[in-house]
Amino acid sequence: MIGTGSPLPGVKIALLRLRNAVRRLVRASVVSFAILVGALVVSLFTGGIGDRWLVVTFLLMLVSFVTLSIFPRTRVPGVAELRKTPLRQLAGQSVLWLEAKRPMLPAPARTLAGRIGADLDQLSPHLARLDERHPAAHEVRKLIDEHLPALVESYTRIPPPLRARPHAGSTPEAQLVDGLAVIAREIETMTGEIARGELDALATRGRYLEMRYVDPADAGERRTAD
Amino acid sequence: MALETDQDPAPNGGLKLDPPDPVPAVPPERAAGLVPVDEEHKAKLAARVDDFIEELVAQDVNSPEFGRRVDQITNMGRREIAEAAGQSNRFLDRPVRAMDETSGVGADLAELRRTVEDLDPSKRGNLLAPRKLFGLIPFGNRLRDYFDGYKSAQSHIGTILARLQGGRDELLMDNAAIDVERQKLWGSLGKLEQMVYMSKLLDERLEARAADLDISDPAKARAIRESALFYVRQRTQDLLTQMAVSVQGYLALDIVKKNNIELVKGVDRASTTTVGALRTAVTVAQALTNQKLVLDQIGALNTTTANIIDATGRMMKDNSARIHEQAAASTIPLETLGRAFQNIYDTMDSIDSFKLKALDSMKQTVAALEDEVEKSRAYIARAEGQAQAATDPQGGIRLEALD
Repeated sequence: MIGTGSPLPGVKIALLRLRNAVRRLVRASVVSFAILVGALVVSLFTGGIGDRWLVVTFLLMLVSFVTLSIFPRTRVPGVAELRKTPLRQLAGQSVLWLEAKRPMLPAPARTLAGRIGADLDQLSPHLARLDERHPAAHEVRKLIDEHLPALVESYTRIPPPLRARPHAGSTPEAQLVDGLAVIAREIETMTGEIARGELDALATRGRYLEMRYVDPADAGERRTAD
Repeated sequence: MALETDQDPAPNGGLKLDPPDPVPAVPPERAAGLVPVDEEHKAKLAARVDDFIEELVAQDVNSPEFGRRVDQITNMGRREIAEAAGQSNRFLDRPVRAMDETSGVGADLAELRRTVEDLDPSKRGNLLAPRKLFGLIPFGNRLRDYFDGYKSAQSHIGTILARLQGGRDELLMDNAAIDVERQKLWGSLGKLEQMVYMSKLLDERLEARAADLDISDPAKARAIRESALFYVRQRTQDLLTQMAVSVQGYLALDIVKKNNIELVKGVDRASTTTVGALRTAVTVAQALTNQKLVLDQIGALNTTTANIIDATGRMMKDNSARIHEQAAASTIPLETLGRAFQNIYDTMDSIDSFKLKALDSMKQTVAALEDEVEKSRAYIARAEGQAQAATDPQGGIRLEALD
């Protein structure tokens, strides 16, 4: 399950699904094992359980294993949920959302959606460290959970036969592609902007070390002349 | 007199901290030209301008395409302006930090002064007079008590001095950040400069093109003058305004840096003179009361701040021999000690007066800067409004600076 655990530090979508599957399997195995142990304990205290109860135990194990390894499915968040997602999980959730919408998009838009997904993946560890009140956080949020879904949804609401027909200068398909291209570029810019703080910090630290230890004259009258 | 040796570790007497002059307001028309655009870039930008004009003129005046091209003009340099504006907003909160009285270096210096004043021999009356119970019976030794005061004060002083070193490092860190900021600002100034060059060129060539079209297609010539050219001129003004702010911010940052350097000097000197006074006290105690005053804390500090107090140490070694020679004339060592304290006060006084002057000059700088930033904000707000007409992701020639 996503949403409970750690943020999604740049995992690709397949990896995410795989991880969820593994988690489900582990959970199913643990529960089945617990049932087995429970049955053993009960039989120890009651001096053995009958054949009927043995069958019931095995059935119970089978059913719980099967159920727990199928559910809960990797849930695709809705747009409303995206808005409530904390920033650290936002990128991961949006990737899931976008991935679910991808089959409905025209071919060139699918490529772009893939690119946006990859970019969001890159952004996600940085978002995890970003303060929710930071202006960049606000911008990212607006872009990812407002503009991106609005664009895609308003495209999918257009009846399919009309999607390739020109309207207001170009076709809805082309407009979608243009819009996605802008968003993709903007996400790239934002990644740069968010990383800028870290870039600055490193540059400053380097300069400081230089001033403090290599070139003290620069920092003021450190050593007095004889 | 032998003891007249100056306690001052500086070669040329007293500490002089110079606050830099305030940065005057930079008028927009004089802002351009700080970072020159090289010929290669000029040629490329000119090619962009020409292509853009060709495309613009090729469109029908009433078509939405024409409108789109004009929108591109209103967006021209939006990114560059926004980037530079983001930086100029940040350096407004920088100057105040170092000058804050209630925290950091300022507070530590004040606390140091209070602590040191408690130890000042001149505030203790005549230390050499014998102490008497009820004014009659000789009891104890004033000098001994006085020097005992050092033992209890030393750890406090040690802590303050260590904090001052921390504050000094913070000032250096600020300066490092300023260096980085200025480097970046220089970059965005370069880009703004390119945009200014581009918009001026656009102005010139659109004007020429409109003149050409006056006879063959007067409607188009008018449209170019009224929409495209109008926006180009407005944009040029915006760019120049932001340019002025950035240039001014660039200069203001340098002032903050210089102030910090002066303050670092002041902190160094305050530490040096304090340690100097404590060392004098050790020597004087030895000479006058034959008491071995052990100031471990300060000793430890000596090694950590060895660089700074190197000079003091050397000077003190010379002095201690003399103090011993003069021990018989017992008022003289106390005078030396008093002078060592005076040195601390002088340092602190010069830091204070420096801070006053620097604060004043900083205020002027910030006021001028704030004015300009305010003006540029109005422009940016307008630009943002127009930006809703937003960008064309694929086609068209982008009116942007080169990387």
